[in-house]
Amino acid sequence: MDSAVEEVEILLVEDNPTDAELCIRALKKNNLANKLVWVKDGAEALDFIFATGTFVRRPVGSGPKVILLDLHLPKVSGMEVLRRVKSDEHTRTIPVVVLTSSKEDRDVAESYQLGVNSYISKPVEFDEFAKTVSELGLYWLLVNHPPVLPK
Amino acid sequence: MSDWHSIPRSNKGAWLILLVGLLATGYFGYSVKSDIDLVVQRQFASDCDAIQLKIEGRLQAHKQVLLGGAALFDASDSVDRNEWHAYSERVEIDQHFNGIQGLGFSLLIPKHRLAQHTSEIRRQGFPKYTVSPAGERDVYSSIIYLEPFKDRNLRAFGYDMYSEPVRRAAMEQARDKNIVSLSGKVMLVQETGKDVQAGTLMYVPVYRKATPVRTVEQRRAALYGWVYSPFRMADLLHDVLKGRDASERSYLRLQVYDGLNTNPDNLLYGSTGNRKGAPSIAVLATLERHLDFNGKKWNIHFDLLQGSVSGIDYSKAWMILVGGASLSILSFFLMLSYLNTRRNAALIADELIAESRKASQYARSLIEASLDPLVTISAEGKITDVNRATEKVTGRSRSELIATDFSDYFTDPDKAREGYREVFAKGSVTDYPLAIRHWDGHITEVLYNASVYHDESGDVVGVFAAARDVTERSKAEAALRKNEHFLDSLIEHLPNMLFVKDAKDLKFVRFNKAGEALLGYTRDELLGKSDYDFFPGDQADFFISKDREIIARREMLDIADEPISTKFLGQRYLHTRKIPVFADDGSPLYLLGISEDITERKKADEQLRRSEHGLAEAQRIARLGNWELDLVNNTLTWSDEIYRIFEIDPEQFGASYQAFLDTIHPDDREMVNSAYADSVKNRKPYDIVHRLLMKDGRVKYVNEKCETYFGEDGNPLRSVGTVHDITAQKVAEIALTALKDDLENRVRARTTELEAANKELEAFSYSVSHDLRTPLRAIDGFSHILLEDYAGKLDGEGKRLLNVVRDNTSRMGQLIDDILKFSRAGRLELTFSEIDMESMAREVCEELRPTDGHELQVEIGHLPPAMGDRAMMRQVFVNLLSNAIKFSRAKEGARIEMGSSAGENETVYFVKDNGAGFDMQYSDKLFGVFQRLHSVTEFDGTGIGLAIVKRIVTRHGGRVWAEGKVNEGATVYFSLPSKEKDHG
Repeated sequence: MDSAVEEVEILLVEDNPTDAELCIRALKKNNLANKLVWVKDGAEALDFIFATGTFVRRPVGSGPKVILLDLHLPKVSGMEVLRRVKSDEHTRTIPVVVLTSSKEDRDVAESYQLGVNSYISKPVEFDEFAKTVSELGLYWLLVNHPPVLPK
Repeated sequence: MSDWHSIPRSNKGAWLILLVGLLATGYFGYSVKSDIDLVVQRQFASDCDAIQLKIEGRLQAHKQVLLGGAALFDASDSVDRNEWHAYSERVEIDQHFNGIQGLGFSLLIPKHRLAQHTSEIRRQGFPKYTVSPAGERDVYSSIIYLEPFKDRNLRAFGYDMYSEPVRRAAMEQARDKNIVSLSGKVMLVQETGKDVQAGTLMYVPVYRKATPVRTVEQRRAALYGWVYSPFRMADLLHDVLKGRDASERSYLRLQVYDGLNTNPDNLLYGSTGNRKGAPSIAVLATLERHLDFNGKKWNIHFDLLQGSVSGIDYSKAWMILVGGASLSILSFFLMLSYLNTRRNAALIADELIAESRKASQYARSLIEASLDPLVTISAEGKITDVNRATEKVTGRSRSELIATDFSDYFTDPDKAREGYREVFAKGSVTDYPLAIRHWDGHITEVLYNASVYHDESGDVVGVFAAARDVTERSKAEAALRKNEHFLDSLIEHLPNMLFVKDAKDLKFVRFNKAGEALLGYTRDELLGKSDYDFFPGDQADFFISKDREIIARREMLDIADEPISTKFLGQRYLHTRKIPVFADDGSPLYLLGISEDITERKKADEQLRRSEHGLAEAQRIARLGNWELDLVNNTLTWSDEIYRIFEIDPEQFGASYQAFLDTIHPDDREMVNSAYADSVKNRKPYDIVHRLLMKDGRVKYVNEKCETYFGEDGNPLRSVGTVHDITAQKVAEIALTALKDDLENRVRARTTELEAANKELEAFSYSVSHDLRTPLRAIDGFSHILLEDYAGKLDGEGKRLLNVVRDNTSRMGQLIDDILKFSRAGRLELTFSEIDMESMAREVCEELRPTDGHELQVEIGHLPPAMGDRAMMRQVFVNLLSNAIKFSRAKEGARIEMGSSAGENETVYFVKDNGAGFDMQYSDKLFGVFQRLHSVTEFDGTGIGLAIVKRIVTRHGGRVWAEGKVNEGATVYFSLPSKEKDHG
């Protein structure tokens, strides 16, 4: 993992390994998964983002360029992760895309209230799923122009 | 009377003596009476003079008193009320001179001084003083002092005598001539209306001091006022006459006139004497005297009345008359007696000889012995003989009667003569009624039996008549008739029916008016008939059997209530008393019956009984009792129902307030007691509910109401109230309350459960949406990867099988989505706003329009706006339109139509297609969850779309239904409440 620390572009927060695999595969098809870190729960996600716990040696403020966040997570929920990210001035500018099976209006509304940058519900069909994931990867990594973060 | 020639010659000497004696007596009597009359005339004149002098003397005495009063004014600077009072006290007017009404002073008041004068007198302590009569005059006078100042005299205080012409004339005369003057006839102001008498007033002028009074003008200028006295004439003159003794006064009538003539208007005083009807008594002598008092003339008129026993003594004249006449008559009778005796002696001698020849002494004595008056009458109608009874009944002697006409002695002589003729005609009469008049006027009623009698040769000589005195008998008969009439009248007017039956055959012999009116038959119809002629058999049997029973038992029977059929009044009820009447020998004579018609009373009793029964029944059914407390007599009465409610045996316990209190539940006693006490105290009715505690521990609830009535003095008279047993209602009410509480608890519990279930359902839905999709995605994803990465290793069948897996995954995903939508449609809260249905339909239509170039014609008609949840309503349109598109896709010339129609309280929208349609027999399945009418291969879909539509429309308060036909299309309708009616 250490090798990946320097240039993480995508932080994938997903507890379901099959979903994670499908997601990574879709990104790989477009060569977007080279600098991807996958964490399996909210607590690990927060450690990574705020350079605590196992990621304590990671320099704070060095990405990722985008966080793909599932909401239904063990330990710390996705919503809590989102809230923490968007309420800290150092992490607030990191784009967060919620990628979840839930189509509940309640979840959508709450996410946007907390400052999510995009909300995408995962289609059941793989073709569509693959297409969606690759599009959003392309968008956030290549099309979107993020602000320069002070070190 | 008989004349001179009819007197027997032998008696003429006696008559001559009588005539001469009487003439001499008359002459001497008359001359003595003339002497007496002369003496009486003189006495009368002297009496008159004495009375006149007394009147004049009295006037002079009053004059002196008045002059004394005037002198008092002359002698002092001013005379005040007290000084005047002192003067009058001194002369003691009210004691010495009866008739003088008072001694007064009248002040002259010029017009301009009137106001000042009035206020001066008022200041002296007479706040109400005014000069009367009121009105404008140039000069006033006012009686300012008048003693004694009390009683009638107070009425004269302030009176202006100068305003009245008669008084004024006298006042002016006194003023101008400076003399004591006497007024004409007046009515004094002191008169009260009782014992009104004529009055007169005497005036003396008072001039201001040191003012000349020689001429009339000077006197007029100097006048200050008048001292005066009012007199009531009758009182004055009664006093004058007081000295004469009563009998003397009663025969002397005194009249005093104002002026010289005797016009009744001017009569000042008239004594009528003491005898009743005096005016009609003859006047024996009259005298007039004139009285002059300083120019005022009175005419005093005296009458001497008849009957002056003590006034005229004629006894001497009478003595001469009576004595002389007696002597004459005595001489006359002595002479007559002498002559008669001589003549009678001769007659008796003759008669004795004749009688011995005629009837025997024996016969005569028999006739004389008869107590009935007997008389013989000659053929000419002259009485020839009578017996002593006849003398007695006529009051005349035999000798007086004989040879006189017999008819003269009857009250009705014509009738007597008629009877006499009848005797001659028939030879005899019997019981011929006549009335004999005694000389003193007394009448004797008699019945005559008479027959003719014959002489020896058989010729009719005369009539022999014998009378029988029937006066007593006819009096008794009259009394009897009167008594009978009284009894008849009593019976006739008795208000109850009275009848009498003959005891033998029980036929009616008597009926009164009330009986006729009751039965409806006249007594002519009734009398002589029996009960069987008028009444139904059984009734008549009853009456007759009772009659027989009474006669047999010989005592009265009281039949309290018997029915009887009447002609006009229908069935009546009688209270009858039947009484048997027996003859002296004990045999039954009559049956007397008295019947009172008690029909109305019976009806009233029956009605009252029924009404009381009805009330008691009503109370029993309603369980409502009433009571009344008489607070005056402290008696309490309860209706039967109260005893039942309180469960008190009326046989054992009477109504009492204590019994009532004892029945009340101990916890409520205080409340009930004070409710009643407060009600009486505040005069307000009360209406309370309280408990009763029965002996066996049961509790009853009663509603008690009470009002109290008060007397005019504010004291309570009686309280009336009701007690209503409401135990059943109360128990039901309590049960209902308990039930309600229980229900509420259960509802609360269920609500909690439901809320929990709802939460679970929500969690479940969330889990479905999130967790069920993930494995599906894995299945689909890894199948795909298999096809992609291992395509070379799979044959055609392997690839097909993997694609079947992927198709089903996709359908499963769709199913999950629809279930979530359905769940959400029922779960989410509605947010109402106005929806433009038409434009919403167009938007949805554009979204769903197939892009594969399939031809589809869509027509959207007018869709009125509605109130609803925008997102939900959109879902309705989406589902309906996508269904329509789906089912008509296969059709050539597919056509979809949308429109609406207005119902009563709702708007009906519809979506119609010409697609596959459906069989109407399954129409009820259309809106169920997972209900499909087509196979999945025919038309894809989960079968939830219409269920969602139904749920949404129902939640909006509308309805959903569908019509269709296989292969011809379907129409789905949904209604929404009209905008105004709902949420408007």
